[in-house]
Amino acid sequence: MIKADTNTVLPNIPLRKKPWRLRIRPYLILLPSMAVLLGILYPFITAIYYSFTDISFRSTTYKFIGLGNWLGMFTSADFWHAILVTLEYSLSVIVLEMVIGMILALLLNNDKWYSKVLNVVLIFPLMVAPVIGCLIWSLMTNNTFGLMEKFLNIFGVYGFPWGASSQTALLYVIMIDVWINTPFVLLLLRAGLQGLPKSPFEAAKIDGGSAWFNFRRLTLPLLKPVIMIALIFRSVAALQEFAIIYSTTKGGPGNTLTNLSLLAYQTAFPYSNLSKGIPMIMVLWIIINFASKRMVGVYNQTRQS
Amino acid sequence: MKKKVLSILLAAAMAFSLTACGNKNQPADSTPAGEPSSGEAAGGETTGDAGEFSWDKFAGQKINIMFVEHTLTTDMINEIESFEELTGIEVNYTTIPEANYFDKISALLSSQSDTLDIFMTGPYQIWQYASSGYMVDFDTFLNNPSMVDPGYHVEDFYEAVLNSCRWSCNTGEAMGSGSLWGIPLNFEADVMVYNKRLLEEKNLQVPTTTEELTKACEALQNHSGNGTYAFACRGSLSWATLITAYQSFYTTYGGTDFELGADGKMVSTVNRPEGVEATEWFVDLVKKGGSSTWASTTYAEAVGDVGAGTAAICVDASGSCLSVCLENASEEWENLAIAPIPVAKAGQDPMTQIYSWSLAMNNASKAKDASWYFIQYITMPDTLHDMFVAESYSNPTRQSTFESEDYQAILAGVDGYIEAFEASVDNCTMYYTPNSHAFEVLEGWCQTIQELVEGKYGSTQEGMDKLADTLTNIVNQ
Amino acid sequence: MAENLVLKNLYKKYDTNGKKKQAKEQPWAVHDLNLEMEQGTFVSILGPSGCGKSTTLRMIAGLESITQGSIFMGEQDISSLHPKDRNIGLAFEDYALYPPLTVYENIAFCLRAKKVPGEEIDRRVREIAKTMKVEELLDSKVSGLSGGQKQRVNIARALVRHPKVLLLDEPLSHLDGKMRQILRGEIKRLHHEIKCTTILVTHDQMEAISLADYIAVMKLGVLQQYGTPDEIYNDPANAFVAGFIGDPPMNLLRVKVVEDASYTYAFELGDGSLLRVPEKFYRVIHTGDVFDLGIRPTSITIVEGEEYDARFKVDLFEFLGEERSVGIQINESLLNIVYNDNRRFAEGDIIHIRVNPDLLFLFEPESGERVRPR
Repeated sequence: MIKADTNTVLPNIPLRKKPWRLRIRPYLILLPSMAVLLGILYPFITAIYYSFTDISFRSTTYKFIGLGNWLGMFTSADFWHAILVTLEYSLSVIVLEMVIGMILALLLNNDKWYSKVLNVVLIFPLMVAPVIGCLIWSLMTNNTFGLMEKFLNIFGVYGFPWGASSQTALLYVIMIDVWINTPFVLLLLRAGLQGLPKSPFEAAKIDGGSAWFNFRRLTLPLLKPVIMIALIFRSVAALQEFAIIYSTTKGGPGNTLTNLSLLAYQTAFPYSNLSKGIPMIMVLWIIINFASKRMVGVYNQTRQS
Repeated sequence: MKKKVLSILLAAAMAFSLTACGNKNQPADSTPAGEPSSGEAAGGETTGDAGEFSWDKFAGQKINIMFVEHTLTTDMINEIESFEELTGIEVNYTTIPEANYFDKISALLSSQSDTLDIFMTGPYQIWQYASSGYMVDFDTFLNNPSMVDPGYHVEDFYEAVLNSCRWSCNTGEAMGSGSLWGIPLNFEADVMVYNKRLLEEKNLQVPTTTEELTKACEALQNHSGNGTYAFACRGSLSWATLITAYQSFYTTYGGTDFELGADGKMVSTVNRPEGVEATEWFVDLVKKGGSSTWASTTYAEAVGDVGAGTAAICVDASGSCLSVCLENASEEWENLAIAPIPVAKAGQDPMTQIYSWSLAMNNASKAKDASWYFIQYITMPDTLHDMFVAESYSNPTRQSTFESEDYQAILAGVDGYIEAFEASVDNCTMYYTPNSHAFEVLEGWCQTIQELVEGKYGSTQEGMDKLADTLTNIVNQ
Repeated sequence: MAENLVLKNLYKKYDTNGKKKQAKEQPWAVHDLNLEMEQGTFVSILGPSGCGKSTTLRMIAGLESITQGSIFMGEQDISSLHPKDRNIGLAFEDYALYPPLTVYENIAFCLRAKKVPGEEIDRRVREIAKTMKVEELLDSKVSGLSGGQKQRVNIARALVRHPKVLLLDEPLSHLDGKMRQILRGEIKRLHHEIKCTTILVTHDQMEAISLADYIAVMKLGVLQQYGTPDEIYNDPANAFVAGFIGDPPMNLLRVKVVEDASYTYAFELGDGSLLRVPEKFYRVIHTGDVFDLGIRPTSITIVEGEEYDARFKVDLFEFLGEERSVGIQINESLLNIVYNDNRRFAEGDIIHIRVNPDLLFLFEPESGERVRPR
């Protein structure tokens, strides 16, 4: 009979080094993405370098000037105003889209006929390129023949300024942004809702409790990871929003809607002050970097529970 | 950990080595503005030797053109084929919308790329590009008989228009003399288009002074019910807003933008009494007779409103004003007529701001002669004439085109256009002081006017004072 | 009248989203179910998968709509009441605990929903936690608990609202052997303590027999028999119930009645062997009748002497620890005999068996109905 030996110690066989062909494989696989990374890093690093010079389209030479551009930026009122606009815009847009998206996702999370129709139709604004969307809106709000204008006429309001007045311009672009991007939040949250386990909700049905109670105590905590994802995407996009504002008012009237992205573009290109525009974009990058890191941290926490 | 550090160092090293390759710290070896690059043998840059002119001298060369989306662009593109046949020069072109056109051109010119030979430009861009040495002086070609077709007749161009492309590049000096930086395709003066029917209904004469204009607008506001208004003009946040209506009025009040101080630096003069009076009158006009969406109005919307009958009067570039008066071009075309812009004091000549679209050449181009041939070809009397008649386009830069029978026939259908044109063409010049921060200056100015219309300042003087400081700082950066 | 739970003519067909033609072809999930359960009793609904037991439970709870029929609790018709108003507590098969909440919050959920004041919530939660022995777990998150712990919390949550009826949906099916035994004992103890009407749904007949006062056996939506465990085991109403209850399962063999020189009547088995027909059946059989004969493996004894009812050749012998099993191949079926002394048999051995006539059951071959002796 074969005896089993229960006290073996593994022999110490030295491991052979893998042939170089095998060792190099991981790096080869990574090569394409490294190339893309370099493609992104190169302009990024040169841009940082340029921000310490006086480069502009006005001349073919440039020289190093140290912190001049940076200091000038921090002491310019336009810059701080742009930060204010950036924050105003992104906070309003994010809050509105998350709330409306959540409400719609909850309302349309069933098999009724109107849910089937609306879940498809409501995605359409997302499929339109933002610039085209703004064009559609500017046609709709045209004071002579626009649909919105005719609609407001019913209530006796004529010639509503939309993007032309500094009081209403912010509302106008926020409205367009919400129209374009709420479907995105809706899609994510619906997917999240459908992925939730069904039986706790049946138990909650028996336990009794108003819809709001169940939502607050059961649905919301379960949805935290998905909510964080939607929040991260929307925040990163809203902080650097360019297309919508540029296509509607180019940042006007005055500098009402000039957020950091627009100010940086304006300074660098039409005003030909490339080296002055770079610090602004860098500040935007720092803000977004910081914000998204914090949010990803929160997201990881929600995954653990 | 070790691997991480290694990878970061590797990436940084590669990035910096590439940066070093692209470093442009040495001054460009292209010639300073204005001097011909004769004598250099590099790739066909030289102007030809004296001799007979012939179209096929530079056969086999290639040129690259960047067109802006302009009414004449399609016609120019249609001419390319016959040009290629005649000269044997290969033409590659792209067309870019106006909004981003100059972003692209600036980048190409400042990097001294030789991938761009010909581009289109307006006077404001000439200030910047010429003073940076990016452009070629066309006098070098025009003064060389072996490079000019005998039928070109450069004297056929309206003098004021041709001179609007000249600048000496000296700070503070006005346009009109110096090197010739572009060959103008068409120009814009400003005129007033109005709706005869609406004015008759209110028993109004065609206004000729700014005072009459204000009175007429007060009467015409809401002329046909809610949503209709009296006076349409540009108002959107852009440098282009300040080069038509506003500027023409500003100048008739005697307003100026900059003057050269004793120390050689420019100082803004927008807060002088004349400038303040002009601006105050203009803001008042917009408030009393303008649309509630003035601050987002582009030229298309302004003339579009007149064409639709929503607005009664519009002041804008002659091209856009003409476009709504042509047969069946708009709803109210039969009622529309053109008149000169009202002036501040009765009896003054209208002083309208000129804008022109010209063809220009990149100083870093390696095919300058071939490029000149193309520009010459497009601006030959016959070619230009055909393009203008085909598009029913306004303000040709050649007298022969204007006087031709078929062109006159088109214009005759529009009431008052010919008179307005002839009245304005001689006094039509660049009233702004050339400077290389033109866009920042004009956009900042536009911003202040928008703020004045919104009532953000205690008084016009306060707004203009702040603007003067801002502008002085900008130009002396 | 006491709060008896009565199911009257209950029918259930699953919805096909309004497609009429499909609806006609759907089978009934529950067909004409009539059941009366006295207050305080422990009833088990037993049956194989797809028999309609979970559907019935969910209809009682209110999570499924009733196609036809009604449910009464005492005098009150609860058929159309919202689940939260029916005074029932349901312990789900997959526990259905609220993932983001602690054990305390899970149990307290329904009390908070009804806005019960804080101190009372605390008292009741701790009380039920003590009963279910989960006090130490009150502050833990539910995701870290073991199956047995989750099940206790599940039941605690169902009980905290003092329901009139406690519904248990396959509570032991996802637990391993040892845990299963422990929790089975817990449920029994719980029922003695609380004396709440309890309905247990299961496919495990051992569970049903050990825990329930009454068992309702269902197959394909139809109630087969409703009785005490003793009745179900010893007096099955049809072949299905007989074959379903008991482990190892009852032998069911096709037999034909023949006349035999030595016995008068004998059952002829598939392979030709004969088994003497007990006298009590004489009045219900005729020569040539075909029946299904049912006999439990433990009711057959292997004897040494000359007195025997049949002889067979051994085809299979299994050693099962406490018991031994002998299998005899008869056509496609296997006649199984289970005994617990030390004898061993090898394949091919000839054995003699005796059958206790009281433990023989006869069933109609097509309908499965029990043929009772007169």
